Amino acid sequence: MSRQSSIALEGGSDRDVLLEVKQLKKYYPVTSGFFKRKVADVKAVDDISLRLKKGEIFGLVGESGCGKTTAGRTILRLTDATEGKIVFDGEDITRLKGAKLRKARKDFQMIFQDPYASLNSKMMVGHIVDEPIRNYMSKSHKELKGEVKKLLKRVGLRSEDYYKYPHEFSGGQRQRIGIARALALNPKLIIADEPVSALDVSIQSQVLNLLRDLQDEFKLTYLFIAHDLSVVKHMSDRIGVMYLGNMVEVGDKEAIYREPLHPYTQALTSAIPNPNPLRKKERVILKGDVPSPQHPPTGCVFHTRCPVAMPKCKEVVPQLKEVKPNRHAACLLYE
Amino acid sequence: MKESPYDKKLLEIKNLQTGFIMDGKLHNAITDIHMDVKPKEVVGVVGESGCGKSVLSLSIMQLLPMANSKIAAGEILFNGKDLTKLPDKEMRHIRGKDIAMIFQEPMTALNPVFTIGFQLKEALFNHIAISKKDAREKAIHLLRQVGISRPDKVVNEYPHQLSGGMRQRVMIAIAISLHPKLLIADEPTTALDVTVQAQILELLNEIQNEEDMAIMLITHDLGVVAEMADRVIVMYAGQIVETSNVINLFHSPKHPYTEALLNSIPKIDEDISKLHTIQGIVPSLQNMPKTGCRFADRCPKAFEDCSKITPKLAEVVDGHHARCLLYEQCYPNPSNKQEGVNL
Repeated sequence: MSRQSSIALEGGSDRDVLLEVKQLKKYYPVTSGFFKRKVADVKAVDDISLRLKKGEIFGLVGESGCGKTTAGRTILRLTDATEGKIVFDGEDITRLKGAKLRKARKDFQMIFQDPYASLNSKMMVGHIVDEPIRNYMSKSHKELKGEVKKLLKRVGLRSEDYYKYPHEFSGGQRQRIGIARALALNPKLIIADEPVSALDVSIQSQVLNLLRDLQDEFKLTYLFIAHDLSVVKHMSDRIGVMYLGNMVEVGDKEAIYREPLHPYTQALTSAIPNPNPLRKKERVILKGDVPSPQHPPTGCVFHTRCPVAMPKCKEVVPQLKEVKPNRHAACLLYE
Repeated sequence: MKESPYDKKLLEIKNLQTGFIMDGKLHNAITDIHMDVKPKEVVGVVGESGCGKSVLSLSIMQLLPMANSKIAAGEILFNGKDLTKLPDKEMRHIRGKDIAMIFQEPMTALNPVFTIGFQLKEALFNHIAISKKDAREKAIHLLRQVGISRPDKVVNEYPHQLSGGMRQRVMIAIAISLHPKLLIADEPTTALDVTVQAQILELLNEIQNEEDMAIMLITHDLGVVAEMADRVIVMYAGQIVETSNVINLFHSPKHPYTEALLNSIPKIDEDISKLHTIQGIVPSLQNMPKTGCRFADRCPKAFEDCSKITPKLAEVVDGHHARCLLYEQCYPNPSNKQEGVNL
């Protein structure tokens, strides 16, 4: 199943573009037998393209298993892409190796989902945060310390926290440490993979506000990955909706919520519980579960659960194309 | 809003206090809990992690670990019977039959080494006299009732063969198999995706109507509560801080904590550049303030009295209770009011 969706998602001159992802694919082989012969592929990410302008926040939403995390990890070169191209700041980083990759990595950082697992519990907070700096620059101990303390203060911790260990902090504070570490090298792009999903509501808003403030201050570009649509909408300028490894809709956040085009986006936006008891709305309830990415349905991957599926949806693979100005959707309804 | 036709109370909790023993000392996880659930009512219990909402549900079910926890005071009256004083044997008759529970993690709540059918039938055999054949029929019927598409196959399958949403459906099937009068659902959709969450909430709604049972829905998701509940109880640091019907709670919250909580969630139909936040974090069990309001440190409206005087839960408007010194009814000895209203 190959798709040609090499469209330029969102205009803007090439100078403004920080990250361009073209037809990115990431397949994980399924092996079997003594010789570990490859028998199938798990198509975790199956042909996605996106373009991030400098200073933009692009939100990536989807349910668990849709490939949003794999997409983020592949873009950061934490795993190698099966196919496709990743252009970061004018440089093709898809196949970079060794020293060159190391140098490129300085400019993109990641904030992880689980603040309990992403910090080394045996390292002092100061050393967790200064490790990226030590990796790239030689600085005196005193300089490093001063810099880290400044960072800790900036993310809302105290400079004494330099000497503490991760277990002394709550989930929200740990996430702040993770953010300080991501900022340490003054990166251009930050991929935030579900940065608040492990946090309580009252803490969640603190971290979201911090991420926004930092974006203004450091002129950052975010790829914001989350499953919570309200959070993604709050944070992003543009949103991409993923389903089973495919990008099904991309557009401006307001447009996507006001008038979702793809039936999956419609179901997803209508499924969000609204904290307003007087506004009970019509729900599009999807049947069944997300199919396994090892055996994705033929044609449109969503046709097994789609409330408006047509016979041809089983055969024809829809392409992501511009159906309205600045609105892209992959659905045969808009052919 | 659905108004309960009965004034009778199905579950009534009076002055409940449950604690854990740590370093030889009893630390109260929940204190001063007064609440009730009427028949056929959906009561939502909301709060952040550590506020004691799960301890509350486990206290009702008498499922707390005996070794290090203790119900220190209070009564849990279910149909007039005090569950805290019931011998284990009698409690076993009620647990699973009259009060059923669904847990948060459908992945771990089912036993991986037994078939779905076995786990469904187990509940039946424990409580009613039923033949093996009838039990199997009933199990298939229950699976069909919770919307599982090929129930005659699924009864013979093991939990790992099902998806998260289907496992939660199985949990619901087990819970409703004996037509309980009260269903305690502890974060039933937290581990599920939004589209599956919508399916499960709709299923719970349908079943609640069919079976005429009351649901105590414990969750941290205000959206879920707004959609499901008739009445809401807000908990903070082991206490009930506010309770009211769902519409008043969301549209005119009385306690600053509820207000801040509602303001701190991003809403899908609003666009604001900055979210409201609540400063600081929930105090831990050991560091709970002894006197004064437990929210005082984080409260934007706190004043002098808040750290000195412990507020009590009182009716501030018709049917709307709060625990906050902004309302003089909540002072321990209000000058112009009599003893506060019990819930």
